[in-house]
Amino acid sequence: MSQAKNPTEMLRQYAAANSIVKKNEVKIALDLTQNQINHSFDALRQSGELTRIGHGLYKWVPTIDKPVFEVTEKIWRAMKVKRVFSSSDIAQLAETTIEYVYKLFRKYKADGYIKNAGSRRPTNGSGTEKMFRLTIKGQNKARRPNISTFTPDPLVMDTVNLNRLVCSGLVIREASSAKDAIAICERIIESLKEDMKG
Amino acid sequence: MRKILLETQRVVAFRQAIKVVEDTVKGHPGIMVVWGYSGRGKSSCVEKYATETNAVYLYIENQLTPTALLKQLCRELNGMEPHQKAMAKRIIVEELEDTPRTLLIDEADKLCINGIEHLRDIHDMTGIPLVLIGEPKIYGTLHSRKRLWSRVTKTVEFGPVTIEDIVLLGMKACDLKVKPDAANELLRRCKGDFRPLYHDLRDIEIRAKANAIKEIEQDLVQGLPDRKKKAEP
Repeated sequence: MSQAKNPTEMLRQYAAANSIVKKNEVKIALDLTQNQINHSFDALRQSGELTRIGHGLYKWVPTIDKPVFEVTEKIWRAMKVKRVFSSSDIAQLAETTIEYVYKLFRKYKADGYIKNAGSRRPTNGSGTEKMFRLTIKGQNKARRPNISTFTPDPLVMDTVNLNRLVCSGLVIREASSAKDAIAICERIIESLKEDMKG
Repeated sequence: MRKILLETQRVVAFRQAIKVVEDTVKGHPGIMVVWGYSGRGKSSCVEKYATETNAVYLYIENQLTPTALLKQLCRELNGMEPHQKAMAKRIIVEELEDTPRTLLIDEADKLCINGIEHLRDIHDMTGIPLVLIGEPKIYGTLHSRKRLWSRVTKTVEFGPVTIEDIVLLGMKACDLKVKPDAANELLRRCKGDFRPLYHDLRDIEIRAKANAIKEIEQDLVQGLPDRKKKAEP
């Protein structure tokens, strides 16, 4: 379990687990001062993880675009522009070296972003050079090259889910929900025991 | 032969024109037309520009319908592919209003007039710069329609290859000094097209390396094989 060390991280966990949060509600639930609350909300809004949807009401954004290294961004753009490309084409467009592009291509191919599309005679030297094209997965990746997805801590999620089951009264009305709640409780106990040992 | 993009006069003119079209405060925002015959370096120049900036680059395939065009544009902007034209257009307008980006439409001469009209609508609704790139047909298509032509604020013609281009390409891509008479002969052979020039320079580079030559004379160019020779009976 990764422990929330600062108010911003606490708010990140809380917002990720609850989707829509209120400033006052967070203040009471996390026992933070007004300054800490304001600072944390500002930090998460600046990074794009929270968006304001009403007065004092904020929505959690699960995936955000993180800044990418300029050359990498150019390489992705060049791959999107050229439908079929070789490493030398991309190196020329992105103003980088063929070696660096080829190194990235090996990684992208393994990840399923690009695939082979024949070969052709190179402009320099003899033999042939491999041609590639973007796969559907690669085309989607090219649109947003660096997406960051935050997953809340499992212990936080378990606690929130237990809270939902208990507060909605489902544990009393439905036997299956009661079983789920027991399973969640066991998981929470296990996790807390492990933390205590550690 | 190194792979390079030559900064020709046309490339410089393109960069200057697009700067004017993109400048909404001091420039002339509107439609820009980039036209010229094939092999003149239009697409290479635009591809380079699209890589350097956040512009949206769209390649028009043959017989692309207006619906397919809007779908492709929508997919390029936010990954969605709505089946209805109206829906696609609404999404495109919303996306471009949120983050204005220049639209670069390559091979725009392949578009039917309805497709161009849809692009004009998007341009009118969002005010984003629209760059149409294509063969001379695109110039005629726009010029014949007053409604479209009145919105065109800049045109850039990608003319034939010049002697300076040949000398510069020889120097930068092959490290060879092409003499004026040899450059003239190459110009005659390539007929203003970069593609045959590229093949000829490649052959010249191989011959020059084999014979340890640094300066290209007319004789060497005249000795090159004719690639498009007619079959003799």
